[in-house]
Amino acid sequence: MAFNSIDFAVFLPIVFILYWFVAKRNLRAQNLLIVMASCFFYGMWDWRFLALILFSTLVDFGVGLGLAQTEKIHRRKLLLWMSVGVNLGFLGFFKYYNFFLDNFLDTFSLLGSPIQANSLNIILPVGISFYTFQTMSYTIDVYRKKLQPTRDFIAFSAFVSFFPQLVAGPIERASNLLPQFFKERVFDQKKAVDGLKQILWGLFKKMVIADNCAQYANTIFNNSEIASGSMLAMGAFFFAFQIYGDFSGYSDIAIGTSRLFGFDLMKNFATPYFSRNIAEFWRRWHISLSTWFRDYVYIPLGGSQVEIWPKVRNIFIIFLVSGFWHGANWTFIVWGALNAVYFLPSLFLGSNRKHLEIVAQGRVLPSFREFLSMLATFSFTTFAWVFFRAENIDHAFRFVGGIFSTSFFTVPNLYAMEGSVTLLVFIFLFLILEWRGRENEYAISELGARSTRVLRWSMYVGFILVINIFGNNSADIEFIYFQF
Amino acid sequence: MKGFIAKTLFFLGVMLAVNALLFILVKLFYIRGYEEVDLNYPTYLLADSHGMPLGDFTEDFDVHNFSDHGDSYLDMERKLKYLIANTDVSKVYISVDDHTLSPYREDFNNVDRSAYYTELEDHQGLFDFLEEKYMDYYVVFLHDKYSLVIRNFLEKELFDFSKWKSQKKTRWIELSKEAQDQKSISRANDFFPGHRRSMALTTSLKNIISLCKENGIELIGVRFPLSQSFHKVIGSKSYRADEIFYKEGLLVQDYDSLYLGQDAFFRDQDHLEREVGAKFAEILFEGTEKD
Repeated sequence: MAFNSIDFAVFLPIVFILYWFVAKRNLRAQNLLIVMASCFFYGMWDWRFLALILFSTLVDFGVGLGLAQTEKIHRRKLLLWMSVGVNLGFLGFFKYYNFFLDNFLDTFSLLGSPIQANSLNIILPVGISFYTFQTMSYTIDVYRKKLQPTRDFIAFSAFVSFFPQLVAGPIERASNLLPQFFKERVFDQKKAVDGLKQILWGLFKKMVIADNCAQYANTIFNNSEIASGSMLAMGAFFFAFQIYGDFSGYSDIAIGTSRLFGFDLMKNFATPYFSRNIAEFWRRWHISLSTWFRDYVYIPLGGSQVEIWPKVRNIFIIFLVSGFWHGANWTFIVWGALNAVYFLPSLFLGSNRKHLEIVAQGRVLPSFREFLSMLATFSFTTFAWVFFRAENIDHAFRFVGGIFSTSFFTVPNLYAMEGSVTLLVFIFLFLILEWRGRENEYAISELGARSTRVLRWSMYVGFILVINIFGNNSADIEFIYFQF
Repeated sequence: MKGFIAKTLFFLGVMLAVNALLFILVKLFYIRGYEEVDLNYPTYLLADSHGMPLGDFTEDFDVHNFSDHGDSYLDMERKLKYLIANTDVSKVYISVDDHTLSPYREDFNNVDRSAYYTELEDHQGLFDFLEEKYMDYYVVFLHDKYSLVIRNFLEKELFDFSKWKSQKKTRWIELSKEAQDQKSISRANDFFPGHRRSMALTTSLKNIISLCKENGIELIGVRFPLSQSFHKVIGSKSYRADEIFYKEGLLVQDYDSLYLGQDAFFRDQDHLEREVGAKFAEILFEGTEKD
């Protein structure tokens, strides 16, 4: 069930009413309702993979209890590796089996001894990369004694399967989300209204920005052989906004929906396209995954507390693993490597901890220098997105080659793509709203806060109309991150 | 919580009012005369945009023009059922052009508007009936095509910068042969996306034939005139709706070559100029009378 579907528009109010009116003041009933609603929500895609979530839940719940009962280090390690093994095993089989097999076969072919083996027709369970990482965070935190294991299976199941963030994050830390399932929930009208506003903003990003950009990005990427350099650059530009609108839009809807049920999820995006260098970009893009890798991979490897070359190695490991997490394709690995390369100058210059605060804080406009830094970072990021979006490495290099041709200096024929000028106007308005609200939780959280109710409501109605009229309702445009 | 529910309901009320306003706009700009039909005629013309240039000229021959832009056999079947239920219709002219069974026409049709002519028994069930005839029709927010209509309208008004330049509309006859051929190829590519004809439209056309037989209605197929350029471009491409008529022993009046070489008669590659509609109506209906 997608967030931008009629199904969800019916599902959400029903669950909301049951949650606050039928299961009210009964924590266990509310948690059970969340589990049931989550199963229904996920089952609408493919009920068969519910068994996978259940198994993962049972293993990690059991490992948590096991860790609570033993202090023996080798036994604790064994339990931890059992959890990691099961979760990564599922991920490896469903997501990476065919990739490794194909590359293995290609290597043997290159060495002159081709061997035969058939790829499996494996369906990738929606959201597997998200919920496996979330459950692993539980067992790792329990292992590190940062978190007390829970004995409440219903609450733990609700934590693993919590429908707003089950299929595409934010990847919550057990230490943040799990305790919320044990707290009595009191309806907070301000929080609920704020949640609805964030859902509205998320839908705008997804349906007006991302899905319309997808239409043009797909056309250009699918016809890259005949497109001019300037048009290819526009294709990369549209994809940059597609992926941002798509994923951050999804996160906004997830966070907003959680608020309706009294939960606070972590912020996943913080206006990343206003970053002044790549290090800042990665502090603002897919924060829940970046911090996951930081806490569970980068820091255990030594993080930044080591000499410069091990530090470089750690950076590459992080970005390559992050790239590979996105998908079983060399394009993602190159995308990760490219970002690692981008990161190196700030690492060598020691400026990777620069720009911790938001750009132009307390000012209306950025300085010229800040503007150029943002533009450069955006350009580098957009260039890397070409590898992320391309069908394969060959396609990516041909695309890049096409951009760096003389036709780059021609005027892109946007009028040939009906509606693209309208979309550029919306992207411009979107950037203005993002800039205006860059210091807030999400772009429109404070918009109209000091206005009269009539004005505020007019604004909401306006957003709904824009989403309805200019939003792309194509059923074939799913959330990009569902495939991860 | 009570306050939240009350405010939410009030907001929904506001949205309903907005919906009503939008529906008025949609009714004015999109639905327009689609629901208008004179039920006092014995003969009706059912066609897509090819029937539009005939306008009211058909009425001189006691024929009501019940055509509309983009009408498919799905829409015509609904209209025919409505006519059977509400009139003493005895004769129907229906277009059987090369493209009328195209998958393109299945995708781009008027089923949202022709739902107006349906009854409960035309649907799979009560829910389907209520959804199509009332929910989709009145709730603008649920209707993708309505959104598209409003979007196109706004885009034309707000973002179509080309209209700010003074542009004189070029008539078909004033276009060079190459320009005519280019337009014809573009239209042909839309109309003939593949070899297979639409199964849904074929079924609907067969239903129309059966309905006419059951109700003693004379059914006559019409192939509308084409320009020389379009005629040449489509060549033998056709989904052969006329073939179904021939197999059923029904009459087909084939005028697709009637005005070949007379570019002045055409508005574009396959539509007549409005003034020529009067002339064609005479040929179409008087010719039939003579036959």
